[in-house]
Amino acid sequence: MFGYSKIKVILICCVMALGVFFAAPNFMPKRVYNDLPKSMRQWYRPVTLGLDLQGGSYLVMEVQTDTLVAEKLESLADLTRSALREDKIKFSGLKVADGQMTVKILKGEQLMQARSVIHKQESLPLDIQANGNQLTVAYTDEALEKMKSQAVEQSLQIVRTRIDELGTKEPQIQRQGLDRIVIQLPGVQDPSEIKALMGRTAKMTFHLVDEETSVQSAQAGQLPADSMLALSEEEGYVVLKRAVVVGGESLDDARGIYDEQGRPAVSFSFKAAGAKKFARATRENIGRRLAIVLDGQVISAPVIQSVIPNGQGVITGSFTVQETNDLALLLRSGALPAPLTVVEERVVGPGLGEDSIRSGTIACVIAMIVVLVFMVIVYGFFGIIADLTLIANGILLFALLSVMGATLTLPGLAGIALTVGMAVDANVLIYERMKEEMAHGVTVPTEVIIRGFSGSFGAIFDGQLTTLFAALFLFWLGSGPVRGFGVTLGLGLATTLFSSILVSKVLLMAWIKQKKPKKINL
Amino acid sequence: MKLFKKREYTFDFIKQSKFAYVLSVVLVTVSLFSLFTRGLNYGIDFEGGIQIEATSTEPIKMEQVRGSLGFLKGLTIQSVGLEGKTILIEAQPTETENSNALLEKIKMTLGETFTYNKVEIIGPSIGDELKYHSLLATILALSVILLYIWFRFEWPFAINCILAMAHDLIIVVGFFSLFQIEFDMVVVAGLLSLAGYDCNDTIVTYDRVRENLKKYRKMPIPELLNKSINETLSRTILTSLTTLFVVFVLLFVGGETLFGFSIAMVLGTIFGSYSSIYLAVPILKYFDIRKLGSASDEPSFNQ
Repeated sequence: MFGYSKIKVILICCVMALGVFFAAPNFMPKRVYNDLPKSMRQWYRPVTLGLDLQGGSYLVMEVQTDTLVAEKLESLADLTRSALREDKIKFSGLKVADGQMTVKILKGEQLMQARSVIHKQESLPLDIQANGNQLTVAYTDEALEKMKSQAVEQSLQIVRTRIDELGTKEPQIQRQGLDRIVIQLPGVQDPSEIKALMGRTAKMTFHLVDEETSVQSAQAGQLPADSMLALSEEEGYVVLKRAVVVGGESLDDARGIYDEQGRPAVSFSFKAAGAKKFARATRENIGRRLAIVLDGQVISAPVIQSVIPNGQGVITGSFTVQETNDLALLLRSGALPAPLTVVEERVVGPGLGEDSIRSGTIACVIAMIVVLVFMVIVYGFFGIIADLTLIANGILLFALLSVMGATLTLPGLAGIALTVGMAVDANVLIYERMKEEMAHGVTVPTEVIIRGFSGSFGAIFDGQLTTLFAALFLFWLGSGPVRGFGVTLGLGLATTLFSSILVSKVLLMAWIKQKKPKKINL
Repeated sequence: MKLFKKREYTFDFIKQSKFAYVLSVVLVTVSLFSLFTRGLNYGIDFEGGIQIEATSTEPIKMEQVRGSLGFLKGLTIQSVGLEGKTILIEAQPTETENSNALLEKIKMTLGETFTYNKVEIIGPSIGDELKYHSLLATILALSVILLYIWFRFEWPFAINCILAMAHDLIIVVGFFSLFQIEFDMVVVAGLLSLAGYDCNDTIVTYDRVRENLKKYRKMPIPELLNKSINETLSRTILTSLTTLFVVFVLLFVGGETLFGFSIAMVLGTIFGSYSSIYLAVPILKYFDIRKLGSASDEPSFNQ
């Protein structure tokens, strides 16, 4: 009957049964749900509430890739400087500006040699242009792309470690677009601590102090090429050797501790290779000062008393306990390849979240009731059938949202309400078509129904599809709440097609089978 | 044979559509004029800056708060709700002070009695990007719909549908501009779903036009168009009504976040039906759709 075989009817019933099953967690009392075995609750769960409904912080951080490129060029310049010297190539005016490095090679015949020397300093492809004796060095687009993409991946990893270490509940950390990281922290009302932690690159390096150059002469511009002037917490400024003795990437562990005097300090230990480097550097430089530099600032510069063979040490300074714990965390998680800045921040308090859930739910329920009643008023018995399909639609939508782990936001709730309003359209189209068919003299109930469905299918399908296009672009466009709207709207269209065409047909078919009506009163 | 049963409408929409053209031209002109002169009252999503909703344990003295925060750039303070204990503050960062510093300063100034319901900080680059992406998404959505209707029907149908849709969107956005209602991402979401909904309305009538083109091979086009609109009229009205019910409920119960969205949907639903009936279909009479229609094979969806 109606071209639906038994198997199809059974399949439709199965889908509905699954729908009821998976939608159920959304409607059961918390107590009942929590009594379910834990292993079951892992895959059988209500729809996830968005941060605008449950309260929490939503942060979008941007990886400052420009800084990264500038830094890379700086270190390339350092390498180039010493390599050119080593190969006895005379040069002048080596500097980095506007994303490129320029250098003047004094002897024209050494130009080719200089080129190959520069190429050797960098594993990524370089674009070297010559203008007379002037060489302009930049990264190729491909190299930049690779560098940035790596930096973002690395940052993502480090952000994840840092947040995990903080013990935040169910954080969600994702990459977005080329250079952004989205951090969602349910329940976090004040993300300032997290922002502060994410805002630090935590790049730690050890440098020897340049004892031959005084700070005054350095400030007057008499700074040797292999030295640099650095800010220091304790002494104002210190002159350091540029060469890095050991870097933070060789660190194995770091902990907040108390030193012998009971002051907060940070203990650290190097991995094997780093420990070896550290041991050699301390052996060769006993009596000299070794500076610990964090993000360009000298934390302390103690005198090396003896060889440190095991790669372990303690950083002391004027720290509070909180600061040592934070610093240890930052060192453990590793340095960010480039600074992160917050470009978007949305924090919703739990009170507002609850209000939103309440108003959103009430709106959905009222909308549903109004539409249900309206349909019965207009179509009588057939209105009840339409209402049943509408309820089936709602159940399927919630089931889909739950199974897919989609996030329900306040605009998402609006999307559900809207789906309710628009889903009726399919039923209306079918019923109006049935009326017309009857007006044209078709009286046999099955025939009326079949013609009603087949005659309206094209319009229903086309109409739903165009709305789906809009929903797809919304999903692509939106972040957070708006994306949630796109999701519910899109899924709602799919469930509408299923319920208003298949389910309502099965319902009507069952009715005809049961009552065997002589004619249809619409 | 009861050929004309109850509810057979015979309005002359094609005749009335001349007035509709005038009305539409006026509305679109006013909307565009307002858009170019007054612009839109962009919400923080697009404008960037900082927005805070805070509730105090005591009634808020607006003047006092306004005075103490007076140093902020681009400051607006609004009272929210009926109890007078909640305010909405918006401000812009300056060159010397970024949004984070600003937030700390505001929190410090307001003091301990306040709790923060909502804090939003949007960087300037994000705002511009969202504007661009919203525009892009709208244009792309319209293009895809245009292509689809062109494939399913014929090009005059597609173009008219898109024109009617653009007409509706311009009027709705114009309304936002005219009354300076805050225009944010949720409104854009409303506009996009409106585009989809709107088209749905038009397509249903187009579907009927196509069917009637086959059925009544001799009928003059204006008469056929009018018949098609009348035949689908009860459906258009019923669906618009249920959708209107829903969006009115959202408008009154949905709360402040959904206000702009609901306004857009209410206007869009009304103008959507209006433009399908009076613009998208009547304008078809200026095209030789019978020739086009017979030349193409109608894709069939019969089950």
